[in-house]
Amino acid sequence: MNTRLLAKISVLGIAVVLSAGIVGCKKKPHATPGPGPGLDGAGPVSVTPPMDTTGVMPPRSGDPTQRNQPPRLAADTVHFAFDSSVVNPSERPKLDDMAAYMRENPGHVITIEGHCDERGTAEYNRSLGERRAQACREYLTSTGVDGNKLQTISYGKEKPADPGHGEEAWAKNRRAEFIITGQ
Amino acid sequence: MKHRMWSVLVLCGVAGAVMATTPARIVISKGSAPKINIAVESFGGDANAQQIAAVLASDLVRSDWFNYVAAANAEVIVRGSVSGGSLNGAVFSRGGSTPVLQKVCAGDGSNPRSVAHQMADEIVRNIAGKPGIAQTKIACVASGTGSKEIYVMDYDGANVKRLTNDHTLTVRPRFGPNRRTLVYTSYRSGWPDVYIMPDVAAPAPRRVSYYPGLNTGGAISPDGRRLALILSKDGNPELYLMDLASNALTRMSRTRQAESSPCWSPDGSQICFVSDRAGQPQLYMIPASGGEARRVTFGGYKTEPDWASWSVSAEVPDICFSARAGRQFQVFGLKSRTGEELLLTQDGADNEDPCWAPDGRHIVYSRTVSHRSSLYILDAFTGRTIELNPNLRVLGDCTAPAWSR
Repeated sequence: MNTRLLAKISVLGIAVVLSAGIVGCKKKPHATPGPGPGLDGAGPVSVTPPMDTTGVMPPRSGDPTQRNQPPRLAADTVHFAFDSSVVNPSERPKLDDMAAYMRENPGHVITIEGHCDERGTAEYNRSLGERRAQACREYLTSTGVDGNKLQTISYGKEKPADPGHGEEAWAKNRRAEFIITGQ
Repeated sequence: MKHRMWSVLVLCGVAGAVMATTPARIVISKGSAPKINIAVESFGGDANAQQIAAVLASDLVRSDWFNYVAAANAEVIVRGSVSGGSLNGAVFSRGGSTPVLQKVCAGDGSNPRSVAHQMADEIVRNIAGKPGIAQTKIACVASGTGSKEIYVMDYDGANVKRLTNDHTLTVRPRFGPNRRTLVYTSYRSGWPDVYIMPDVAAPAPRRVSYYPGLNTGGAISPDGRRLALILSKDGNPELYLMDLASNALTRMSRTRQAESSPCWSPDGSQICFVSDRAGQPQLYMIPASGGEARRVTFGGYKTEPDWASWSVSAEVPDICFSARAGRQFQVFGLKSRTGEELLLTQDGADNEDPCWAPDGRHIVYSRTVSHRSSLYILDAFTGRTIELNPNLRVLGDCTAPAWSR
């Protein structure tokens, strides 16, 4: 095992411990989420109790395809290293600004879009993009933002910000963006 | 004929033994696989008799168990006559006057390709002793409309039909065990949801999973009763099983990292999936009844597993996946029983999204060169690859193929 990987694992471990501690202090228990409104047929019903409720997502609201993104939110787009969903320290000021925005606008529902660069395979990137959005959501809730106002969507590598094929484009495309889906 | 079939089996064994002794991650040697020399004599009867004979000949070649040769050089000869759209076919060994196989393949004159496919599968099953694939379908994602939509076609790329009209991202099709049911992910509601289309012949999708967050990666169990899928409703992408009768969910993984791309073992007892819990994405297996996941690949970046529903030989891998090899992605094989990995493609392109045919021999995958993607077929026995059908390029980029099983 190389030192980089070890470092990564220990960072993750610290993140786990930190977020578990913070969640333990601040989180209110959420209601078990039901399925959203059905397009057709009966919806799924969860009968297995969730094994943990720390990150449970609120019911869906709003239309994420209407990309309501004021300049302040666009400027808070968080970027990631290749194949990583760890929020780098350099990106934290953007999340801190998002936390401030949400305190100033307590009625807003924010959808965090997770995105990946074109390298890597489609379904893994769809999960990695979700993981990136969730990492931002976890950071924000750890600062006291109400998790019920934060939902996520992953587009994987399907919606690059820059259609180019080099490292410059890829760096722009590994990102989490914030849009308003309710206010 | 019996003797010949044995010699085919023995030769397969020899080819397999050679593969088994080669170190992991070496391209399977592109040696010649044993094949039976076969000829199709021109059929008498209806106007479409010659089309049936031509499609049958093409099917036999695509099976890769036969060489198509002139009748004088054939060990096996197919004769037939077509009446009322149906084929009365008979197969003879060289010099034999009694057919070794006789079959009436029903048609009504409107479906000559289907009649030929029936006969091809009979011949592959009875003469080569293998499951046929001529009546299977391939689904894929294509981008030609400006959106990603799902299409279905015959296994040889003919009869292409668009299944979705969602005007958005519609991705990751996978067939259920009955050759007709398709599960896929669509952003039609604005969010990624999992849909099941019970019969691709009559597209009527039902949305089966639409929890908050990510719903994707649907894979129906071999008994058709459960759906493996990836959900993030509890705060992280995790593997779940959904009982399709009750919609009840069972959570199968619990990590801080990303899970994706589940597939089922042919007996339904195991699920193979991807997780990056160890850093980079790797393949894991977990009992479908629950328990601890076991890591089965090591090193590199390994994703998109698919488990063959039938194993052609213990020496041919039964799981295919795509992994980074240098600057490219290539299709690899994994022998589930030994953990041995084999590189199956190596041609300077990005080769991804592999999916097994039900013969356990052929793999359909998406090949990307200069950012254009098309579908290719790999013979895992010999390493030979061919483009599925160049006519499919009119659909735009074709990715994420799925083979019916």
